[in-house]
Amino acid sequence: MKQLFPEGADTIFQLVCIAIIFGLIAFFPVRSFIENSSYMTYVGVFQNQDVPFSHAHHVGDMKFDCRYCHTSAEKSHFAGIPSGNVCFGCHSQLWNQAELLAPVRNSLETGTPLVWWRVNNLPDYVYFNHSIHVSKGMGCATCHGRVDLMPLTRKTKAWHMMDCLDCHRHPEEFIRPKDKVYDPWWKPPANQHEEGLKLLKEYNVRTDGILNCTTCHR
Amino acid sequence: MSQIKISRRQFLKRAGLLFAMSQLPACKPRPEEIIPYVKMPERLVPGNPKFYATAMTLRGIARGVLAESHMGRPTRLEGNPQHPESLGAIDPVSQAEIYTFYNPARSKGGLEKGKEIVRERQIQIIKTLAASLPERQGEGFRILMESSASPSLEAEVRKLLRALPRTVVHRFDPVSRDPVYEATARAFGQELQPVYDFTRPSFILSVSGDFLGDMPGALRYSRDYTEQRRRSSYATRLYSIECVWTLTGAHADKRLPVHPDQILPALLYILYRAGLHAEVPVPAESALRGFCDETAGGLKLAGAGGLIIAGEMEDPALQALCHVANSRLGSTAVRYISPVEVLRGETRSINELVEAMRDGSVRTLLVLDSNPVYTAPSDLAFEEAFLRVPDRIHYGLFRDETAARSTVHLPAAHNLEAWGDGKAYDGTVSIVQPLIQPLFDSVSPLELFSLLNSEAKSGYELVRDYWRYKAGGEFEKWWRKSLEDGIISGTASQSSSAAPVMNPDEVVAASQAPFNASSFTLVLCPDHRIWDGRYAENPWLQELPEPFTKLVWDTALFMSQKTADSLQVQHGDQVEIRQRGRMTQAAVFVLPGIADGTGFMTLGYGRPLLMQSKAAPSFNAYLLRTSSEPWVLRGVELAGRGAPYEFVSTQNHFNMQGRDIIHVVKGEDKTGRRLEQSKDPSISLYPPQPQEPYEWGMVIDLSSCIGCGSCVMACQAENNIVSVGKDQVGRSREMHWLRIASYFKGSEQNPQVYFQPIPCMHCETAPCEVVCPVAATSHSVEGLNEQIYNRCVGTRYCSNNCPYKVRRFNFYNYVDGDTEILKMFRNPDVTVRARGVMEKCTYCVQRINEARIRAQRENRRIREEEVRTACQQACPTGAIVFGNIMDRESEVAKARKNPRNYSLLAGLNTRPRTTYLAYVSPIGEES
Repeated sequence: MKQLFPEGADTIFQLVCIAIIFGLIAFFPVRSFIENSSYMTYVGVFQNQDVPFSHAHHVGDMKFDCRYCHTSAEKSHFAGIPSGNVCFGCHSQLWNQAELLAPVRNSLETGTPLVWWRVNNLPDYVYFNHSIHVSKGMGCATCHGRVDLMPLTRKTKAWHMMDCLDCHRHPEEFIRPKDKVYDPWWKPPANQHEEGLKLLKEYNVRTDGILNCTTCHR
Repeated sequence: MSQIKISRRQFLKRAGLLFAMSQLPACKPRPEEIIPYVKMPERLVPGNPKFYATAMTLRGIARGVLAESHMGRPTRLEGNPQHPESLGAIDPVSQAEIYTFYNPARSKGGLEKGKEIVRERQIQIIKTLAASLPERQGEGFRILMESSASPSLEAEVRKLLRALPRTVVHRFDPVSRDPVYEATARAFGQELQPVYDFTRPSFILSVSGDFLGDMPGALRYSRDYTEQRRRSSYATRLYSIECVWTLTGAHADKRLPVHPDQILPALLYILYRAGLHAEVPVPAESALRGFCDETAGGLKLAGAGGLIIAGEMEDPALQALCHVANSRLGSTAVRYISPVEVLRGETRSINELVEAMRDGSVRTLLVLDSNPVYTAPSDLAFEEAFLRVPDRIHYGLFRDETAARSTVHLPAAHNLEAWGDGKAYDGTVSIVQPLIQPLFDSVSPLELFSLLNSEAKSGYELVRDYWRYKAGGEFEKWWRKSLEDGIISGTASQSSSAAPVMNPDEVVAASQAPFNASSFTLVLCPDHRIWDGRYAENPWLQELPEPFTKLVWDTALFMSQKTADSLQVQHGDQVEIRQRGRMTQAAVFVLPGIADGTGFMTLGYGRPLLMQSKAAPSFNAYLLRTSSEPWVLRGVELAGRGAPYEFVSTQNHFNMQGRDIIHVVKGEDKTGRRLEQSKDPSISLYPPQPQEPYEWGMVIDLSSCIGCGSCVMACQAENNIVSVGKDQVGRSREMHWLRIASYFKGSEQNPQVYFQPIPCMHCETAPCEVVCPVAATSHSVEGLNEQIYNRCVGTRYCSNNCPYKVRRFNFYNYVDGDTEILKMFRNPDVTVRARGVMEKCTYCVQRINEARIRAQRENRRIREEEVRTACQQACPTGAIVFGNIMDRESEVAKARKNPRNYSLLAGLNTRPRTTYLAYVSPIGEES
């Protein structure tokens, strides 16, 4: 009688079983690798803009305060993107004929707004509020990274929920004195944990309630 | 070229793989645009809303509102606390105006002989018309408009009439206030308008006078009435005699439904018994006699604290009688002012217009913001006469039935995009200021008249010019203050000192006709939601449940069981209603508490030309209406029982079946009859609720709730709740987070009705939370039952486990995400929910968070008045109290200590954070 299975059937079966097991084991790390890769998250990817605005130059070299352009960071959930006339506060005098600034001049002349591409974007069901964070001693650089070193702006965090929760669970590890909030050069002290706990108390930061779902989702 | 050898099967496999791989990059998030201002407006903080005072008009009368604007887009309307009628509250219709403004069904441009025309052509048409008029002094030119209370519009129309003396302006309102003025003209010898003060009377008799519902001033009246009732420890009495259900009747201490022809004799008898005029026959029915005697006794006892208030649609003789009676009582609760509507003397009736159209003397007719082809009395045959006019210009928000029969249609501007002004019920003027440039190619009514006057001024200039002359002094300062306040201070009308000139015995003598109730009488009334049909295009209002039957998108022929039996019809029967050769269709709805031999229908449904895609065919009561009998139709016959009609209602059972869902107590210090109680409330498997500095709670006073539906509409506007259409509501898929349940109790003929607003109870031991497999619903430390949309997978277990049935599921993608214009007015602070997720009342958590952030930024505690839910804010009677129950001084904590406070279905031990204060019925029965 002819054999039902060929000679190598056992080997194939064993190999398939092993592949399935390894596949299952590998699935989660691979998925996580892809999800966390900069291809998916854009972390560290420079975003090309119509106007190649350099934070490195304006913040790093010129030492501009964040709030000069992002005017509503202290008052609203939205930090604000400067309108063209803010740029031309200086650039009507400096580099007013520069080729790089042509889109800004154009926008002001024609009244059509500039279009920027968002670098840091949260999903629509997340309600982040800038004003409460900066008023309670969360520095801009904690989330946005060292913009003073970025010639073109890029993301430094993937903005997965874990990035938010890390801090909402242990705000003492990230909080800084209020006068250092807009300071990209601030470095946490060696005893950040103790200092942080002290600041949490001083600034009256709510620590239990910020883990409620409706703090961010509503 | 060599042939590729590939089987069909292989090809499909590879093509499929290729297609799947081509979709892979879609998994990657794409960058989004962000667009700043070119020049940012001064003092604007991007992301923070701004509020502007303006006004919405209903029946031509203005109601002050504050419009919320997000980055230049009006998104929501709320009451203006400075406005004398609103005092911060708002009615459902005004709130729904925001939808009307963005309605995709709105007319987006002009039409000339059915063809779309651009704005320039529209202006040209008006200018050509204006140029042709002076030649013959406006002969052959007529205007048909509705009543208006706009002083600047009055000035423009007057200017036109001065320049063109042969032009005639006609006025027609489907729901007219003319009977009010006829009555005062009879009673006082001059046209006056009554204004009531409900902080004064201790005994009120309402003769179909719906001062809690549709009367101008109703918001203020409801607030004053309920506040006075609370302040007087429920000592004020409200008696109501009416033939149909009104909100006032529903809230009365005692209500008697009587046949419309019996109302006047009953009133006469009451007044006779109260010693106010000569003797009249005694009513034969003992129930009616008893009611009348009791009322008369109350009025007599109250003296100057008595008030008789008649409905605005009632017979002028009856209304006049009430005015005289109030005066004889010396009632301090009513004063009279000159009519707030303008141009009453300069306008003529629609009957004269139809006559003129018929004899061919009308060459051009301008129909201003009304829809007479649908609403005109059927005996006039308006449409036929209208078509004889060579130039028919329709100006309106929608391309409605009249627009379809016109040669030219011009789109109208909404109050949110046009300058104007208007008087409130007491004469106080509000400036209507726009929040945005016109969305479409529209001009405002003021600008239209300015073009006809060959001036072509902008609405802004017209309103300013009018008031510059009135204001005097420092105009700019005055103007800014008037805009900011939303009212012009000191413009409330002065009371008239006119004394009654009518002898009530005249009415007595004239009303001796014997009452004959043998035939069926049909009463028509404006609809609580879509009024006379003008809001039929608004799905928010169409889907707002009718207060008594919870019917949506529809009207019916309402009648009592006894009447239905005598007419041999049943609930749901489709019948033909016939009267004097006129005929319409309707389905019978059996509703308790309607006078025997009477039925009623509301106006505005069954419009033949409705753009609204979610609408379904309904019944048109206008087909029966005549100019001589606008409201009460006698000798009506029913014929032809058709197929059963399926009503769509959000509540299917109106009987409490002996359960204590609504507690009724005799006095405010009493506790209700507690049938359903938890055996031992201290025992629970749930972890104890933590005691944080803020624990949110809500208390709803059933005694103050009048069932108007303002809270439902406020919730809808605040929380991006969609209307799903009649078909979906029919499958119990309505999305309202807050519903008002209504229950009938007592006899079939004359039951008591109770309203109970039911939002999420935010149970401390919430049954929904434990059954969610993905923890999409959880409890916050501050006592909120949270629903997280992005986590929800749509198992619906939570809804099944909710004893209060307050959870709503998105069975489809109800949100219209494709229509660009609808994206403009959604609240940016609340997630727009997609298909497959559960949603429910959040206690307006976005407002709590906003207030907390503001307080935390300033390093202080949240002030009580900072957190107000949308329903609480809109409620005209202050029935809803919300706040921090840990703060002993807060209103909500005090209300929870009230002996009347009880939990719904307390036996389940869900420990709701939303509790109720029992209904106080001092002369009713406790239960």
